[in-house]
Amino acid sequence: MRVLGIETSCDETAAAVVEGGFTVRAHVISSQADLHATFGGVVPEIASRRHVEVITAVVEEALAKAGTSLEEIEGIAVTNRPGLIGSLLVGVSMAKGLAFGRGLPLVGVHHLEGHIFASFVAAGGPVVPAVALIASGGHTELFYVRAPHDYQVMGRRLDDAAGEAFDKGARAVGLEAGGGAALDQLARQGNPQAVPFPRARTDHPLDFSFSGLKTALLRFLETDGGRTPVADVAASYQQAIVDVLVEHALQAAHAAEVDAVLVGGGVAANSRLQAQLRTVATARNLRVAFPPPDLCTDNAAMIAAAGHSLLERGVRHGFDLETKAREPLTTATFAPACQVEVG
Amino acid sequence: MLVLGLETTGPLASIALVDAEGLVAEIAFRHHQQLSRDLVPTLSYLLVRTSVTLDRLDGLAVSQGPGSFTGMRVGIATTKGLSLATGLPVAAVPTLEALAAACPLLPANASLCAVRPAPADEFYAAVYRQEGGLPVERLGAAQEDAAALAARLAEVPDPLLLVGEGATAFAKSAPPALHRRIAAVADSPPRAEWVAHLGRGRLLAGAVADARWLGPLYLRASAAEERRKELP
Repeated sequence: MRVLGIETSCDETAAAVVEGGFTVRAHVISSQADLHATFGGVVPEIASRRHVEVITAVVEEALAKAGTSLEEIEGIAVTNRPGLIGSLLVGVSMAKGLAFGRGLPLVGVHHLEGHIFASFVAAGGPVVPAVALIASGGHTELFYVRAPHDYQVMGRRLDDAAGEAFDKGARAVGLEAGGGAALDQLARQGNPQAVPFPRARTDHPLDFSFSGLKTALLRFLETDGGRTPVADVAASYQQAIVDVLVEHALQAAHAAEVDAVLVGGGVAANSRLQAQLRTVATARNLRVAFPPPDLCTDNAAMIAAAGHSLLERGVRHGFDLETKAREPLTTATFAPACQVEVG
Repeated sequence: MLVLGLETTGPLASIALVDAEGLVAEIAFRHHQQLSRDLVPTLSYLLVRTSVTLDRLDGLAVSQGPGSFTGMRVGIATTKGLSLATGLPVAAVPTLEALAAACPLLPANASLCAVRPAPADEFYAAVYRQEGGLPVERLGAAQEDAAALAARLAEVPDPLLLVGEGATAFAKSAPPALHRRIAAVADSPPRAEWVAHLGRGRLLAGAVADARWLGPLYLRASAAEERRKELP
């Protein structure tokens, strides 16, 4: 089956063609990062305006790069939850127009399920059972992945997402552009033990809280008055985030009694997180699956792959498919037909 | 030539089929913020009831705004998907023109002001005259407050008619000198019949929109960009 995927849940307009489940024929991302950079965050109305402007060109480019056409597409998958409503609506409307116009089956995909499937795409197939750490600018969550489409939340963010903490930290240490990726670069020249930033404890040991860390950074910068080299501050701050992510992922793997850890979301591209998790995982005989950088951030290949799997299991959504700003990822959010299949 | 028209820029959405003889069928529905959920199922129903398959259509017409930002995007993105899937040409119809087109025959000198509510107590408005039963622009579309619109209307010839969801609201706030000139007020919303009708005319005249890059008529940059422009 050849599936066209569309993703517009935040500020990337993306389309991809996936075949046979996990083979990415082509994927295209039109990033709006430059548009939003000067506003210090994603502006929903600007994002929606850009999506509707470029969506056709992005879909056409994905089809062309895949060497295919709509005549050869057998299903349409689109992110319909969670995300910015105005942004989601553009992708979902486009997908409905395409599916109705060609008489193709349509399936709505949960964005976070997409991130889990990004690991499957990288591995060439499902890696289950596993725990999945999804960390980005909008999410920081731990899931138990019993099987594809069968998930259980193990930990969630209580305040700032990890990617948000990276971006805010980057701005605090004076990196005007580039966010968490720029902080990662700067931290490579610094000493991660230079400043003892706090590792937040939460009532539920697998939940995440990063807002206190951000406050600690701001307070430190104020009192330090520039005495500590900025690379040391960046490295120490990054280390505080990475330590919590790695520790929680390992605890989750232990609690779930699995030997595989999947990582997804923009933060999965962080070099320190990758190195540290790989090192400790090897020591504990755990498999770790990181998607390549272009599949860590929001993309449509992961949506097409998740949609392909749902379509193969007989899941079909009507043209009344709705968008949702918020919805947790659990097995219960999937169609009954699907649960029977994966029982 | 059979044309499908979509009007999604306000609280009342509508879908219409129009051919050389006029309206074939139209469904209008208040969407209660569920436009995306209800638009394509309603389109599907309309086509089934009229026994029209997509391959019998000759073109698509979409209401381009100004109006609800989300509504415009849902209508245009759906149209883009339909057009890419079917290869049908698209006509983009300014919503204020569709409002003006719905008016019955008027004297040639009449000024027809199409006016819709905009955010922050402003209005989207444009002024048309009628020629051969079709609207021809006298004053272009703008987003403005009542005073600015009243000032623009001071220049157009009488009789002055107001049409659109903002007609009564604007008439109430118009200064007395202008108020005396208003010959008729109709608070009617835009309808897909007129979007399809005007779109059909454009397609027959070869005025096909570039569906790939088509976007709504917002009239202004986003609020965030407007605020930044005001900073010193």
